Amino acid sequence: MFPTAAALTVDSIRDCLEGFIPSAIATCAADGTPNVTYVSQVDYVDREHVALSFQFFNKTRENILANPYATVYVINPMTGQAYSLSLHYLRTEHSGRLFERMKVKLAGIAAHSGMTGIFKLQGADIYQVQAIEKVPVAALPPMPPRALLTALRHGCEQLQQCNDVACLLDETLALLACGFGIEQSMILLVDEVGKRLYTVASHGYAAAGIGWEIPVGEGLIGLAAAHHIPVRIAFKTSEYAYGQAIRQNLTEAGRGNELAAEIPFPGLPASESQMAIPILSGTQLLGVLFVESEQPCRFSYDDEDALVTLTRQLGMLLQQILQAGCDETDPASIPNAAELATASKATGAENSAATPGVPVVLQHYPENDIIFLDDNYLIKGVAGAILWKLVSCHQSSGRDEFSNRELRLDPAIGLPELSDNLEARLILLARRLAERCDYLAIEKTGRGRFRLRVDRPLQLRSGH
Amino acid sequence: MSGQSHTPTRQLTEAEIAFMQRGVSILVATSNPARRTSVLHAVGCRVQAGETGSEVTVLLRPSHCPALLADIRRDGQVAVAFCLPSTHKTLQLKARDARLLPPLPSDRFLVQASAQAFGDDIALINEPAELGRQLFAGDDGDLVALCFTPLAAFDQTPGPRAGERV
Repeated sequence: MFPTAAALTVDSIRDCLEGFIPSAIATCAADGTPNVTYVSQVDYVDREHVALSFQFFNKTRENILANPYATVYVINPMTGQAYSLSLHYLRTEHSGRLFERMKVKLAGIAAHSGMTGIFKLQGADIYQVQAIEKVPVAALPPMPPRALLTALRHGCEQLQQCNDVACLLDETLALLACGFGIEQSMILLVDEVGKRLYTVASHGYAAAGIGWEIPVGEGLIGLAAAHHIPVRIAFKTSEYAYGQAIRQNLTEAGRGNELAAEIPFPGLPASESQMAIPILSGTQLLGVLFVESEQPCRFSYDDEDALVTLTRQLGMLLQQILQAGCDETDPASIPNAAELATASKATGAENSAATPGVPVVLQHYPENDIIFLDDNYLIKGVAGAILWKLVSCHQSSGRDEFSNRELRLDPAIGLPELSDNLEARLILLARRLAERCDYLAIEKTGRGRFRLRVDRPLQLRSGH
Repeated sequence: MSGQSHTPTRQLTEAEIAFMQRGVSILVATSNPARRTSVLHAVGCRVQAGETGSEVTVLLRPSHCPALLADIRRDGQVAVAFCLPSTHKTLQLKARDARLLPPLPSDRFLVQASAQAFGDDIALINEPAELGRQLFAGDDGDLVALCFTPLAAFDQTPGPRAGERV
């Protein structure tokens, strides 16, 4: 027997709550006078409840407090199908998960429309949806549904097969492209002190943008990281502005070398839909997955749910791999530093002596570990400190084989003693080198081991 | 109806009339004796400025919300919001003399022109014009004229001053 048609629930009209087409709310004053206004945000809470943002005390709010019934008119942004929702106001929340989510979403919208500080969420008004009526408009046919659960299941299984960080990051972005049809994506990891995010993997962009950084708290990506909440924008957004802000700051501070150390934002110049999802392991922030599209309203509530779940899996596996690299409890897998030095000295010295070609000047600025190759910015921070150590060793002793462990124990690199993301920094360095030159490379040679390949003579300079 | 009394009406300015007639998004709201509301998207607007006030006519698809039409027939109270999506500029009018009349023969062309103008406006902000025009679609026979004389006007452009009487 076929099930009978059920009454509409909020679940079945979730796509109408994207904010792409503004909704309208009608309320009625105590004296019976109706009022109607547009609202930018009607948020999904669950199959029986929605939330509206309370930003200003206005006629709608005055009416709701006097007469707690409202009608909201929503439109599906893909088909034009309209629905009329009969609402009953229950309460206003001023804290908690839903309030935080709406606050961050509002801040995200404000940040991208140049209106930061103008819109401030005072409360999340919670309404029970008493009835949903389908308005008999001439709607367009719906888009064929995408099998997101299948893509999610396959994605989770694929990620389980990855046993190093680079594989895990690249596989995630490949899965987004082939399983979810998301062509533009990037993964940023948080630095050792939790202040900045740096790009370690990207997919589908003209420039890879490896090493592009943003502060936690700034823009869509920074907001998602700061609040541990996914942020999704369904409409056109302006390009990230912090490149310019950073430039201004550094100019004023007279820190010229840092000015050149600005890697451009690799994202789409005309993005129509963006979503930033924090990569968490438990409650610990590891980074952010950022996806975008030139198609308006590309990412739905369902996409958000699927990607949050996939990102949870990514976070758990990433933490496991990073922790395993940090522990390195298997002595057999850790090369003895002295052995490494002896073993690689001969080959390294040989290579060094035999390295042909025009010398490259590798300039190091110790105060922030910024590295330039000839006059071109390469990298800074922990990854810069690592490269400086490697090339210094290579230059003085001819060594070219190194272990993660010796880097981790080297106080000059400044990694925290316990949990660190050395492996992620090595990936960043290796990818940045691959992007910027063909004569210097880092190649993984085994678990916790790698080789520095130098194909041109280096002239090392440190300081100004 | 109460609008037939000597309550002062709100005379619309030329700029306001031009704004309302340029193919904006129009929403109409009513309430019933239990103070429950109905709301519907209108599909066109024409304004006639007279000596005693401006008479506003918005066009509705009656099949889309019978409850709203019943409310109008009962007490004539309406709130109507006009919004230009590309700028978010919004004006709300309130009236107590709303009544339903048959549409003019030319109204179906007014609906087409409004749909075209609305689609063109939302295309400015990269929203699909086709979807915008779809909001105005319907049978020519499914059209009714809602006429009223505004008593009050409110600026509802988003922001801290939204709701101020103008």
